[in-house]
Amino acid sequence: MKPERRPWIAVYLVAGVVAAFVAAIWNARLTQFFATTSATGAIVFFLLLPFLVIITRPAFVRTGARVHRGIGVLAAFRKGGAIGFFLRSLAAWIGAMLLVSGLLVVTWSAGGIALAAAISNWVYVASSIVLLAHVVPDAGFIAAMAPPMTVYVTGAPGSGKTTFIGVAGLDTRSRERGSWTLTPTEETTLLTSSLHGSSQHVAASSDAVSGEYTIVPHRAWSQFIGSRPVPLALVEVGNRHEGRRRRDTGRTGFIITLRAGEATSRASLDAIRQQLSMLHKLAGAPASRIARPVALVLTCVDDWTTGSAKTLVSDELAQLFDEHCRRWEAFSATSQLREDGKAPEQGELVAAGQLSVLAWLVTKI
Amino acid sequence: MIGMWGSRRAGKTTFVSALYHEIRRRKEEESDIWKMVGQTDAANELLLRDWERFRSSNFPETTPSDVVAQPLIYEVTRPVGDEPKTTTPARSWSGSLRKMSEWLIRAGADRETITLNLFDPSGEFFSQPNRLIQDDPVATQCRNMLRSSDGLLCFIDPTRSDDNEYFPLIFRNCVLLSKLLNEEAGGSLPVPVAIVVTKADQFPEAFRDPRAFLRSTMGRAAFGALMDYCERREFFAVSSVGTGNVEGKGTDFKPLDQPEPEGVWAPIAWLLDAMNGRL
Repeated sequence: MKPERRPWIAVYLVAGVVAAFVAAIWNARLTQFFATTSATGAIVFFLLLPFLVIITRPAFVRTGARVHRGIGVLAAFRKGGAIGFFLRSLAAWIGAMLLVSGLLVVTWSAGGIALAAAISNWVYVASSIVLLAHVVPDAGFIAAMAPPMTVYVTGAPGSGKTTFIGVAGLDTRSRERGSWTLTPTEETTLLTSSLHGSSQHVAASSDAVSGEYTIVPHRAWSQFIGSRPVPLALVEVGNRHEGRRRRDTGRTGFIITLRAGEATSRASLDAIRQQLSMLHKLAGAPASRIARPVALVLTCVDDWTTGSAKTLVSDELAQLFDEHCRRWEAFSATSQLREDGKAPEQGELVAAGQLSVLAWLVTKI
Repeated sequence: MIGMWGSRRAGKTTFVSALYHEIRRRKEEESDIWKMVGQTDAANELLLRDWERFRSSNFPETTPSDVVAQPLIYEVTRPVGDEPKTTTPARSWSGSLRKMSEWLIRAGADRETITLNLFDPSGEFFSQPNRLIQDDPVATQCRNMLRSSDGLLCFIDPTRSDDNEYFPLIFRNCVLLSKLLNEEAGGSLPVPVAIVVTKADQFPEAFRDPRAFLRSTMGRAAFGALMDYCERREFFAVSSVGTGNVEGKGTDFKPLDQPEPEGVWAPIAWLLDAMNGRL
């Protein structure tokens, strides 16, 4: 027997013993309760409870060297093989029901009505305890990878496109940090490391860069159904070229970076107009509004605040985005966050805000 | 299994010898219950060879990077009630329940025997993270051992001889470990990590507040990455030889006298408790 299954034998034994005590002590009361409320309800309950117990049986999912427990039926849907799981569960349930029903018929026909009631009461109580144990959350497990997503990052020269792509994995300040994880690939750590220590962060490269991450939303229900990692590519769309265009899987979003100090200037409006027309081409929507989510990221902000930064955007700029994009949101992000009134050391990366942008995009995509 | 992780000359092998020295000292000075016995050839060999070197005022040899490292398994017996007092609250009601049941099981016993399974890879894997992802038997063994570690001892050497920044090294190592332990999903490490400042005899402030010392030594970015990936962590400062007991320049150091280790048991005790769900 696998070691992770051993504690469950103890759980089932304890549940059986506790249920036997409860059924023995309160047999008459339990029988009266079920008899006086609804006989049909009692039968449905009697049939349904064991089935729920069987389909919620623990599913053990291995992540690295660790084994996590999930709820069987949910894990089966999440990891595949749901039909086989359902058929096995059905067979086990029919077998269990035949056994219990046979036992009840035998005791009933032998005149042991109280004993038959005790057996059915035991089934109610034991099933309830085990069902409760089955749905107690574990630390959660990692489900199969979701299809990849691509986020194209564009913006005027010097607006912080490469920095955004490179430092996204260092953002520990966004409020999403508690429930999302963002981990770079080995190649992307090299990009991040190359940005660290450079006084300007980005050498004005003619090559558009890309960063690959795995983003995982950990929601409240992830404890039951697992967390699904999403491979996320951040692809820079260069100043004069379109960068490395990827196969369009339909799972794309866009980021336009803009230096916060230039958010209200006339020149930046023209530049944003150009970026938006480029996104129209990338999104394959030259005439209509862009359906894919677009995040406007104000970079190099002094006072970074988590969440939406729409109040920092001028009315003209907001109108421009409303005209071109169906779903857009403004954010602020920095790689030079001041803490305790102090700016980071020269070239040191202290990132904030990037994860909020990516979490919003992934949710919308 | 406790994986030891840190750069070359950070003091990983010396730490094991110092641990043995510390347990012998405790046996002589505190209680004869204390005992540390090697359970494998590699563990006994290390005690015989390196501890003898260590006792005769020489640091152990660095672990070679071209030899497949074997786990070092020791049986450590300690008096019951020796567990360090921690301010970390129990993580969950089940942790408290386990703590209580262990207390009941151990009630009346005067000693506790623990199997200490340490893995001491070459520091080259830390200093050159590319080396770890290579497809050779040594790197494969190292990856497998780290992957099956239940806790990590992360050694930070504040006297690094190179002038490189901490950030690129720490960040890449954290990401690599995260991918090893969590597979592609990444995220924070699923095991407790004891972050150990070594050679603290040269930095008395590290003993007072190892966390603050590391933050100022490593810089905000490197420290932030460490904090981000090591969710269950505790900071420690250790000296394998003792304060004022080392001489030398550059990378060539030598103990002056018999070693008097400081703080070497605390990270192990914390890790054992954290791994057993007592914290």
